Parts: sequence; C-alpha cells; structure tokens
Amino acid sequence: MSYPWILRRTLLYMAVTAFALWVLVPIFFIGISAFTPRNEIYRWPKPILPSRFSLDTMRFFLNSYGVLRSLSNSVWVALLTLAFTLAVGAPAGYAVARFHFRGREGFRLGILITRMFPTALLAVPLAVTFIKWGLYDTLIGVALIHTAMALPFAVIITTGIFMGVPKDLEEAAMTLGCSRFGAFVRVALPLALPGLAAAAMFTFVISWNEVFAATILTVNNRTLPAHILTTIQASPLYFRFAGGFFMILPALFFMFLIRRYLFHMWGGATAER
Amino acid sequence: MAAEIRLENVRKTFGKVVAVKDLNLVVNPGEFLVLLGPSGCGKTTTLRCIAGLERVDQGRVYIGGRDVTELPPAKRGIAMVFQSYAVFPHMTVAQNIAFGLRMRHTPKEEIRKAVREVAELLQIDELLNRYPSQLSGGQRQRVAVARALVMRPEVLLMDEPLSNLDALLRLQMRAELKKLHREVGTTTVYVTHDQIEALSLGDRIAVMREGEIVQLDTPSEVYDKPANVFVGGFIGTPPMNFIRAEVGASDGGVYLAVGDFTVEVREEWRERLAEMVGQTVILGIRAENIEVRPTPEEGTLAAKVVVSEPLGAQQLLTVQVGSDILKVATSPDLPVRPGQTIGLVLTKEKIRLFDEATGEAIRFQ
Ligand SMILES: Nc1ncnc2c1ncn2[C@@H]1O[C@H](COP(=O)(O)OP(=O)(O)OP(=O)(O)O)[C@@H](O)[C@H]1O
Ligand SMILES: [Mg+2]
Repeated sequence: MSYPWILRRTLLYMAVTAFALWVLVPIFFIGISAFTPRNEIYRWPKPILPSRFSLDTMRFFLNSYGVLRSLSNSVWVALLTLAFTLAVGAPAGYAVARFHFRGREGFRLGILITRMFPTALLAVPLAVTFIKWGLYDTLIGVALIHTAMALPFAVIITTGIFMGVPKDLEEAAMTLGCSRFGAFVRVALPLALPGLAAAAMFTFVISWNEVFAATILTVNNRTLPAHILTTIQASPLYFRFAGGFFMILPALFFMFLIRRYLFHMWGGATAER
Repeated sequence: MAAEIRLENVRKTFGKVVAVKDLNLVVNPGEFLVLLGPSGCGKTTTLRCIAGLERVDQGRVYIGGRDVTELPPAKRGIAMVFQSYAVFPHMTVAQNIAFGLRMRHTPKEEIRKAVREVAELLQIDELLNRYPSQLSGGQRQRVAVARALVMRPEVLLMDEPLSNLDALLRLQMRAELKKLHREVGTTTVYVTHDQIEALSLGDRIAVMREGEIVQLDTPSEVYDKPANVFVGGFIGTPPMNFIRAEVGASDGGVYLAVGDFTVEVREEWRERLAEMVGQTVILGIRAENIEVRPTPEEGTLAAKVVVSEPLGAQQLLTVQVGSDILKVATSPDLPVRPGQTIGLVLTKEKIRLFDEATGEAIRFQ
C-alpha cells in the first residue's frame, strides 16, 4: 500500500466517478421528470425530487397520436432483427469459434470493418435500393438494416460464448452416438444459451435505439425513436422527457441483465474480485 | 463383444507436422494396449484417428474387421474417455451416463437398469442425481468411465484418464481400471505418458516416438529388452544406465572393456561379438541389476558415490564411472557416504548392448 499506489487508486476512482456521473445524471433527470406532474416540469429552480410521484406525464405520452403504433412497430422491428441476427450470427460465431478455416482472422476483422461505414453515407443508396425492392417503409426493411448493424456484435459475442464451451464436450457427444449437428444441438447450444440470451438482448437494444436508418427508410411505419425524432420539435418538454425515459428503459433493463457478457465481449477482463 | 482394431499405414498431418507417421498396429480382441510416449509423440492423435474424431490423411482403420475409415465416431462402435472427462455440465450424473443409450433409442426401462448397474460397478450409485459441478475430480472420472462402459462398446479408448488425479487416487483408480477391464473384457486402447501406469496396466505396450511405434511388446519385454536407447531411457525409474564400452578379445574370448575394467559377456553373444572386436558399443543396464560392494575389490568396477537417496524400500545411489553417471539401486541398509569409492558388479544376464551410431539394440542369434 505504497503512496503511489494510493494515488493511482484515488485518480482511478475519481475518473470512474466522473464518468459514471456523466452518464447517470441525465438518466436520473429524465427518469425523474417522466414521473413529475406536467405543470411542475417547468418550475425553476428545479427540485431534485418531484413533490409527488405521478403517471400523468407518461399517460400523456402514451396517449399521444402515433406513439402506440410506433411502439408496436419498434417491438416488431426489434423482434425481427433479433430473429435475423441470431439465425445468421450464432452459426457464424460457432464457425469462427470451432473451425480453423482459411481467412478466419480476416473474417473476424472484416466483421468489425463493416461498422466503419457511417449510415449517413449509405442512406441515399439504401433508400433508392429499398424503393426498388419494395422494402421502403416496411418493418422488414428496417429490420434488415438493423440486422446489418447488430450482426458484427452478435458474431463477436457468440464467438466468445462458443469458445467457452469446451470442444471435448461435443466430441464426447459424437462418440456417444450424436452426429456433429446433434452434438451442437444437445450439448453446445444448451450450454451457450445464457450467453445467447445476452446476445439477443443486446441485439434488441441496438434495434430499439436505432434512429437514423429508421427515420430515413420509413414514412408512415415509423419506429418509436423515429417517431419521437420527427415530432420532437413540435412537442412540449414533458413529452420529450417521457419519450426519452421510455427509450432508455429496455436498454437499462437488458444491459443490467447481461453486463457479465458485455465485460466478456470487451476483452474478457471481468472484474477479478 | 470385444473387437480387433487394425491400423494400416495410418498417417495424419497437421500442416507441416506429421503427428502420426504411417502407423501399423493390430490390437487383439479383449487386449489392453497402452500407447506410451513422451509429450507430442502422437498418442492422442492416434487414438482420435481410431475414434473417428480425426480424419486420416492416408491408410485404413478397421474395427472388428469392418473398414471404418470413412465412418463418423457414432458409427464405429467405440466409446471414449477424455483426458478432461468431458462430462456434460448441464446434465446430472444419471443423464450423463444415459446419454449414449438415449441416442440409441434404448427403451427407458432398460436404460434405467443399465445406468444403475454400471453406476454400482463404479461405485457412483449414490451420486446419480448430482450435477458434475458437485463432484470431485475422481468422481467425475468415474462418471466418464461409466458413461463409456454403459454403451458396451466393442472398443474402449482412454486418453490419459488418470492424469488429472492426485497421486494416491491415481494409484487406486489404476488398480480399479485393471480390475474393470478383467471383468468387462473390452478391447482397450489406453494413452499415457506415465510409464509406470503403462507397465502396470498394459497387456502390451506400444512405445511411440515422433509419430511412430518404436517398440510393441509386453511390459516385461519392453522393460528388460528395450528395442533401442530411447525406450530404455524412457521406461523405468530410474531410466536404464548407458555406458560406453569397447569390444575386446583375448585368449579367454570376447569381452567388453569399460576403461580398464573388463565385463564378461554371455556365452550366446560371443560369436556375434567376435565380429565386432575393436568397435565401441553402448552397454545398457538397469539400476537394480548392479550389485554394490562396499570397497572396490578385484573383479568389480570402481565407482565414486555422488549422491545417495533413501527411497524407503531401496536406496538409490548416483555414482560416477569415468565420465559416465550411473544410477544404482541397493538395499537401504548399506552404509555409503558421498565421496566414497565402491565396487560395482554388473549382472551379466541383464546387460543389453546397443549400436553406438543408431542407438538400436544389437540383435544376437
Ligand atoms: N489440432 C491440431 N492442430 C495442429 N497440430 C496438432 C493438433 N493436434 C496435435 N497436433 C500436433 O501433433 C503432434 C502430436 O500431438 P498429440 O496430441 O497426438 O501428442 P500426444 O502424444 O498426445 O502428447 P501429450 O502427451 O502431450 O498429450 C504434436 O506435435 C502436436 O503439436
Ligand atoms: Mg495427448
């Protein structure tokens, strides 16, 4: 417990605290405001806690024109994205984890590179193509774009998960009468399930939060973020808070559930204690 | 039930590494064959080729006379015990053991009965409802063996099944595996790099080196008559002693000269050795085949004691003869001190000679 050690620790904790506050303070105020009675929101100076808890603001938000429909759109798009992403991402992750094929490293890198193209750059060509293919302003179209965005993460996460399932187990299943696929279904898959659930939640959140592509590629079938974005200029403050809170909710909830796997994904440096 | 295994010119490479080099091997029905060799010599790869977990590059694999070279593991009639045990963590012990039978669609009643029987055989019937995480290493090992045995395989393959156990448990499980094999009688191929395990378990031992079998023989033959310097040096604790000797001749006949000392040779060898007079050979002899005299008398090989290690039942001496270091096993009661000079008598019948250049045993008759 030397002096430099304490100093280093102190600096580290200060940095962590600052970082946490930077993220948490806005979330806190959005959350608080969403449950503050509408007339109190404009009050200044702002009290830390509202005088009373109220669902009034949230009710107003949910009953506003278009919100429920876009909410249902959002859920559908997220579920479709989830299905597409897992259907493609899980086998890809399994392949990267298990097989030493030519170009494996290149593939792993290539996956990440796809994330380097800004969606803004692709927006116009995408919109044109989607119109041509009849996918413009459809939920499937948005889900496909979201799948493209979520896939790299899904592949990386599932690779990590399947690497964590010992190859021996599948081989043992094969010597006990399973085919290669049977061994995957009966042994690797059940053992990977918690991790796959985490990947699924992460995918859901990515789709749920995505606003840019959803705004550009839809007109009538807006997802919730797209709907909020297009109506926000003309909305009262409390509508924005309620909408913001609603958007954060699943992310907060799922991230809390899957934080262990996210650590895993960022290099396996899970908290050592 | 027990089937013959035959490997014909089996070759397996990983990139540039030749893990198994044109291997020929016949394992007799019901035999317990041990694959023994240093790390990386290709034991596991050979076993996996038999199991069907590796595709061979070349050659054929027969089990029970059937060509299984192209068949997946499931169709080969084998069962395997992995070094890591590979017990399924999401299943109870009972489910683990039943797994293979369920894949075979055996009726439920029969499965239950078979699981119970094999669990009793391996004394894990108390643990059937536990999950692997609630078992000790030794118990997990038993589950792995039970899971393989319940299949009544024609061939049982085991890859260093005891290497993860502590010394005492290993000793106990070794005896149990031997007993189990006698009861079940399945053709067994057992991989290990522990030569004591090999000597105690095997009906025959295949000693491997760099993807090839260098000697295939019964434990006593492998121990007493190693095919080359490598086998002699690999098997036995301590390994075989090697001393340089020159073949000499006098009126009395042929002899071996170690420095000024002459070692008599067996009657049967004289004729062959007479052709080799003047050549240098390597004389191999095991620690327990050297007698010790407290003083270097006439007719004994003088040696200086370097270290003396009491090992309970015997005393292991490290001695120096000229520039060669030898290990000698003696009675623990013999009083010797480091630095002391003693006399050695080599048991004539137990001497083995090797070619100096190739290290191969010199064949007589
Ligand atoms: N999947 C693989 N990919 C590449 N090389 C391999 C692979 N498996 C084995 N090898 C190589 O083949 C050779 C033989 O390996 P093998 O596992 O059969 O040795 P082993 O005799 O079982 O050794 P050990 O006692 O350490 O288990 C080694 O040089 C090893 O590096
Ligand atoms: Mg091995």
